[in-house]
Amino acid sequence: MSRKTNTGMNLLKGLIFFTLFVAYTGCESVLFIELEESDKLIVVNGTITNDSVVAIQVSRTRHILDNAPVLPLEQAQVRLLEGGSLVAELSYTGNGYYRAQDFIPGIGKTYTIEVENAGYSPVTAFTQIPETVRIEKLDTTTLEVEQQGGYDSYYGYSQQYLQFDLTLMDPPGQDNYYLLYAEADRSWTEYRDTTVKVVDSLYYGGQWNYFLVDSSYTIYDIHRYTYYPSISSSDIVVEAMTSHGVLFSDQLIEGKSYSFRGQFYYDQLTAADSAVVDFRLQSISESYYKYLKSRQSHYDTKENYLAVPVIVYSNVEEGTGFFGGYSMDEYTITTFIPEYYWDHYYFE
Amino acid sequence: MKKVTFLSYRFYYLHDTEDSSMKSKPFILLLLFTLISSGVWGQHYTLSGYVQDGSSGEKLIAATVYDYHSGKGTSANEYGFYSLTLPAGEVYLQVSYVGYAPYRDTFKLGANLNMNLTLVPSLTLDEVVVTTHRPQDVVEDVQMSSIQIPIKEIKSIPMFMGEADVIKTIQLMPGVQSGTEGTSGIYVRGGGPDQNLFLLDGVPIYNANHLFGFFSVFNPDAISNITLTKGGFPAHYGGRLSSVVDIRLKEGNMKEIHGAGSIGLIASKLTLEGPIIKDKTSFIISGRRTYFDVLARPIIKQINKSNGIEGMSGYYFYDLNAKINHKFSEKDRIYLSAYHGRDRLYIDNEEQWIDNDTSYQTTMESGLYWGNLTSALRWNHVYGSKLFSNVSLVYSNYKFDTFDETKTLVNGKHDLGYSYHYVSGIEDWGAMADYDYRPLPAHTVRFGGKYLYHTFTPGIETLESTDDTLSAEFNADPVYAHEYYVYAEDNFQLGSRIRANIGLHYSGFFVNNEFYHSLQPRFSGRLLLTPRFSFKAAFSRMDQYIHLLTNATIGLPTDIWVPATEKTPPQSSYQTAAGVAYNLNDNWYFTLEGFYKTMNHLIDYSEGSSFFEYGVNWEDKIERDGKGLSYGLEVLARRDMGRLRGWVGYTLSKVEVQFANLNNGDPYPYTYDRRHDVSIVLMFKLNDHFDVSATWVYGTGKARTLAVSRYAPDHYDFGNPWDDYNRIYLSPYDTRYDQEVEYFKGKNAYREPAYHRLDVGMNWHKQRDWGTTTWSLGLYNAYNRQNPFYLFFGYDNYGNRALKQMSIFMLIPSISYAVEF
Repeated sequence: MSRKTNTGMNLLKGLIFFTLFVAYTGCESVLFIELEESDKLIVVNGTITNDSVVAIQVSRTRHILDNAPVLPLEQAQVRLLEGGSLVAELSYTGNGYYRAQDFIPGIGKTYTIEVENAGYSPVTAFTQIPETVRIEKLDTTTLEVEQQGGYDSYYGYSQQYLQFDLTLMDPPGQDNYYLLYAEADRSWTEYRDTTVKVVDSLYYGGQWNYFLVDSSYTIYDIHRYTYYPSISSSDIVVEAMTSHGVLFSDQLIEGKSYSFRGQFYYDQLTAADSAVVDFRLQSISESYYKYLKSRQSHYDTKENYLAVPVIVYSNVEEGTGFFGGYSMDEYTITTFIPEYYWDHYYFE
Repeated sequence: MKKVTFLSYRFYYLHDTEDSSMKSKPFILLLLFTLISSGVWGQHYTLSGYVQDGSSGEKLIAATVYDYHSGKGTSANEYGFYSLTLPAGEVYLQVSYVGYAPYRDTFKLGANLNMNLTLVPSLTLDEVVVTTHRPQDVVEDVQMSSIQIPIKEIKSIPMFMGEADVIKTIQLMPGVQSGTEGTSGIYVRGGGPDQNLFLLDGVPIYNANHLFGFFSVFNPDAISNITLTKGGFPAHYGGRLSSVVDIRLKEGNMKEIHGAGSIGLIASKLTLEGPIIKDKTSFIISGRRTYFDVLARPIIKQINKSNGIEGMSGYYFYDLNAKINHKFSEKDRIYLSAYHGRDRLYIDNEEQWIDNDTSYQTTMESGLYWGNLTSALRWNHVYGSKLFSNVSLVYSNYKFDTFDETKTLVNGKHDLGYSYHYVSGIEDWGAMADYDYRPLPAHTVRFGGKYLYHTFTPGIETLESTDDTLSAEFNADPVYAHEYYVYAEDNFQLGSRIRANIGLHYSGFFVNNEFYHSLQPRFSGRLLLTPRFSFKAAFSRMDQYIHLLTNATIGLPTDIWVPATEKTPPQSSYQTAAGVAYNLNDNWYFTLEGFYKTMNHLIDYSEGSSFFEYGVNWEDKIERDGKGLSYGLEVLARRDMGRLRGWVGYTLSKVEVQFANLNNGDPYPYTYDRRHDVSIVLMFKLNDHFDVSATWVYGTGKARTLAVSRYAPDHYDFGNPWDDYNRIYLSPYDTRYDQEVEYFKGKNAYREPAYHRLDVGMNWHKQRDWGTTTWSLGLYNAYNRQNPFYLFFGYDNYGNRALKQMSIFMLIPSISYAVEF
């Protein structure tokens, strides 16, 4: 009986030893594997529109394992064709841009870009400039949202934002794609010594909070610049929020008059007591839409290993990048900014 | 009794060949002749009953019953029932089943006769013969693209961690690809993991994986028979596009108590079977559990303690099979079977601290568990001598739950807490009836139907706080669906050379006021070119009303079963196959099959989506209406008899899919595309005590979507005009990487390095007074091949970007000890 028990114990000990051995030998290992050099490709990126000169960026791909920066191609031959006829030879102007100084494209016409560079396969891409879609109406209102304070409710505050309803009339019988963004004035202030009351900020509770303090500064200069407020929207038509603006199509509003609702916080307008805001509705080509949409999704998931990789759309044959067209309508408003959001000062 | 000299089956062929004069007659005449011949010419009687193992009473599926006098024969169905109508008079009966001594009898047939036929295991062949199929059966069988997997082979082949595994043995067959390293998913003829129907005693199993797919849920000790069907689906199968794995549990020994058990590195198993009432009622119960959590408990506890944490974490799985079989009469039997399996991963922590005289205690419990519960109540009844029925009530439930719960006590009083649960699953209730009617020896007619009531819970998320201030539920509504099918098929002989199985399968699916239905023709045909060489062809349409959302090639329990809906129609496929089978010398046989399969309405995740996105409905993150095309060639050379057994399988195949919104709308290689796939399995019996085995597998690398270049987006600031001679290298932290766009040649355009691996094993058997003991030693990945588990981008020690490969499971030895009594 005792012998049997020992045999069982020995068997168990042996199995534990084996398990530990397996855990040791079966561990993961990392190998470095080679990745074949892919073909170097010409990259064409650019849009054309009816009220600007043509400017196209031309560069090249870089092997994914190459640490060197991606570079522009400075010696490329870039030609623009309108309906199959050569209309401009674009010349290099720096930072990868090739420009046609004296040619303005037209709405409804089709354009082909051809790029050649020694050592690369020549590429072509095709696009057209869609008809302009007008902004029929734009209504704004100021709303307020309560922000949660930090641990101390003293710092709780409300934040005001501009809500707008932009009405457009989607042309019937065709696929339309839209990019909406806003442009506004903004300023920053240089100070010299004096006493002013300034809006200071403190980051706590996961957000920036603002409050007034006395300080000794004097305005030296006010620098004005153009700023693109970040529009947020939960409108049903929105398909992507990109760095270029809000992207949507007419899939749900085909041929209808539609009022798009969006908003942005006043703290993005921090100027004086009012600001001029341009709302710009671009009617964009399908290629530009697909590029922007897929690129945003690509950025959003680049580091997420659980997500399905996103291949950015390209309409450049034998190369990559995109060539798109757009036409634009603007609607300008002057909005009064709540005092709280004036520039980082107000005079006593 | 008249003495009969039984001839070898060479005579049997000769006999068939003599009848071959009919081959020149028009097809219609042959059909009419076959249909009426038996009924018109003289008096006929029917011999019927069950074919069973004499020592255990276990039914012998597909055993051959043959009358040399009339040249008529049949085979037992999957319940062991046979029915053979013969002319009145002399009968020279032989009943054979590989691995058993043939049963022979001679008698005069003058009335319908109920006769249970009992075979005893062959003493001379003993362990050497393990298959249910003789090479000649493979040549003559009308069914192509179908493989029987003998249980003894499963136990002989070296396996990962020494754990015999049904699905991993199936992976070694031609036309079947494996998924990620070590996992037990199967991908058949280019189909996805959801396109395989696993039937355990006729009940669908929705997740056949333990331990994230490294083991399958099927315990070989409880199984009597496994059939894999890859194409030429007979009409009684339906519901999946690519394969049916039909697994039948043992029924339990009717004569005496027997058992088997084993202790391995991962798990231990125990099976007991025997009579409750001798020759009337039997049972079998089989259980398996892992014990790594138990062994590791003291170590984990110590580690936690050193970190000031009270708590425990671990993982285990278990499964349990049970079956009761009762014979009411010679015509009525009832079976009740159940399976329950559960995986559980748990991490429990408790922390206590005191701050400013206030005591805090936080308890965190998180983990995930998943498992199946299935049950079947089956009634077999024989009407007269020619009609057999199987009526079943079935239940199947698969549930996955991941949870995270936190509670905090301040000075012993409840303060804060919340719980998060993500639950998905599918539950089926159903009834089925199958009838097996054998009016004439040349005809086996089957008809029947099945109804399933599905309840889908595709990813319910709940978030609750313990003070009831927060309570949110997403995707909370289950989806209910009704699925049914009816079918009829006739497996019939036309002359001596042609045999065919023609059938129709009609199925329907109701979900959310949507009704889908389809009529699916099925055909399989066999032409004997010579007695040892046959040509086969098959055609089948299959429809599948449920989809599996998965973006991993390992069997993650997070995979979600979802129904066809108004927006997402059912998948369908058409498969045509043709091939030849050749019996070389009654030991070796060869098959060569080509297949061409089209698939429609496939689904896949949209680009950028992930299986785990908070609050997103599954229909909003998939692409639908995908098309697939799969074609290929499969070669199998197999030997199941003698001291050397095994097979060589090779598959040359290609599978592409096409979705409007993926890969610019162009076709691309499916995740399961593998150009070349080779399996070599050899088992050699040295003597009565020792046998050795080895398997070698090779597969083309998996198709992956991998970036090969990067490039600038629009309005990119290139900065200084750098050139290749003045390179300023980007550091890993350069933010310009974030702006750059990765360039992919296409979806799944990159091929991982090829996969290959050698496993070797050895079994040492010893006969004891009370039974048999077996020590098994194995080496998984014997030459330490570092196969890719997954690829990722990183940096080397010098800060250079590098493509890295993660490999697991190198050179893993295993040992196990098994007893059988």
